[in-house]
Amino acid sequence: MGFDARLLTPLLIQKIVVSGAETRSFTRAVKVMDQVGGQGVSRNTMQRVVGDVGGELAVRRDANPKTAEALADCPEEPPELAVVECDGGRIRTRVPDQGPGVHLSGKGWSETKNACLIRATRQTFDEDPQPEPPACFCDPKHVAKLVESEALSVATPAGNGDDQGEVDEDEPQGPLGFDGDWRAKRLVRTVVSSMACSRQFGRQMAREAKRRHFSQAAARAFLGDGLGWNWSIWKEQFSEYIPILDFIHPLSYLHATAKAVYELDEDVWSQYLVWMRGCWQGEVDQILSELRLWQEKLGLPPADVADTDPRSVVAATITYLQNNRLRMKYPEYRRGGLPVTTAWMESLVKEMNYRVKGTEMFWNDPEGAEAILQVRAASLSDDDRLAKHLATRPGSPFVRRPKLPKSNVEKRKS
Amino acid sequence: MDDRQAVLAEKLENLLKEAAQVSVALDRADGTISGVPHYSVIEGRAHDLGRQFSRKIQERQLGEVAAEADATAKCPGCGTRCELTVEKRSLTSIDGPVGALEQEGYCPCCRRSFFPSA
Repeated sequence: MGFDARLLTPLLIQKIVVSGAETRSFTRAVKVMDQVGGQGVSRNTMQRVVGDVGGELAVRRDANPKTAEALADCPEEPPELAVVECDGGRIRTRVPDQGPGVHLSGKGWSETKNACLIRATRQTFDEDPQPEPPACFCDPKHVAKLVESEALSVATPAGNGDDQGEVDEDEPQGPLGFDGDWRAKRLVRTVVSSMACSRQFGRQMAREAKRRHFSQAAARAFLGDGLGWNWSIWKEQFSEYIPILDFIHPLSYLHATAKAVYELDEDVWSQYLVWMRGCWQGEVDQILSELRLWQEKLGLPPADVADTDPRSVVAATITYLQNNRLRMKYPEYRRGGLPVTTAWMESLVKEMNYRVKGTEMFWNDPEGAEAILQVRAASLSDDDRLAKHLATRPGSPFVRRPKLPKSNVEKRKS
Repeated sequence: MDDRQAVLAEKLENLLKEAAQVSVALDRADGTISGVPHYSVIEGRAHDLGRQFSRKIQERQLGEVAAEADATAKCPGCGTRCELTVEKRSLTSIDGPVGALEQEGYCPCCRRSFFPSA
């Protein structure tokens, strides 16, 4: 009948878990349960139930994707476009069972890994549907936010003032030769999140993709930023997918390099614009040639020089572009209707962080952290997997629920 | 819907009407509701009755399950067949505490109790 450790009924557990997943903290969730759900529960009960369900979700995440035990729904048809994006996050962790107060584990910060797997629509084009970069990348204030630096004192292009609010980074513009937006549209998103090492996390992502028939999709893309483990996962598990470097990521390198080689704001800005446009139009080799000339002019960085030295900045950007050039064929991706930024992932990271990251928010390392990541990830998945799991969750014939195996979370190695 | 179902549905409808009448009369009699109250008072009282009704149904349903079950069951831990007794157990539901009658077994091999209806 689905009784959890003999004390709480299944619908009450559903309310507890959903409140715990959707509100900012367990303390807030207890309040929501009392005031909205109409049934008071203690904070400890809330935490225990979320921990139990998180552990169960982790077991199902790691189940054979060919069995019904796997969390994801099997679609009837393979997706037209399968997009996989991943990125890291950080949460604060503590050592459990150490008495009152927070006992930090390590430096207190631990890396989480998040991925979204998206079934999307797409259209293909004979020519690049957006050959010119979106206006937001030509807006000094917006670019300053993207590259996390101070805005340059150059004129803001008309129509991109302070009152514009949220800027759509992929907005189509100009004579495109077709009506409407070229971008892929998200249909179904599912989320994988864990404290596991990158190798284990890659396997979790691969199981989710297999269950959702991503390998049979007409087109497949894997997007990430410059993080090394993103591309290790791509190589080990998703090498059949088209690898795409998030377009926004190289912008910070190009902007920093322009600042390193020029002094005047106007010169920095025009050089950034030239390189950014070249990057958008897939002319990475041309940019690399120019950077090598700059390196020749400035000289190679000595071994003990600071990272901010212009010679080091240019050298770092050359290495970065060389390593990623095969993932920067942006016009080709746009013609194929593939995304060129990790906007979907960035949006997901914000949604995850809402629940797991904050001042005075510490998670037991690793079980507590892993459990909340599973519950939150399931809650953010479009396939209703959390509600389905709770509705079919088996009961426990004993008063105490048996402990789940600890093997779900291998200690982090990367 | 067959005849028996129709009769039961009508009976339930009549009992609900009667329960509503009694609840209103009781609230007026004990002064919980008098004059023109804030609607939240009416709503709250009605909802309380609904929750009370829900708990009664849950207790009754669990009692039916316990009454229909076998007198023995295998221990989920070791498979030993054990005798079952009916015990009262307090569960917490979305509508508050439910005093449920449930079958309970005790496995002498595992030395612990188990609940076959789980």
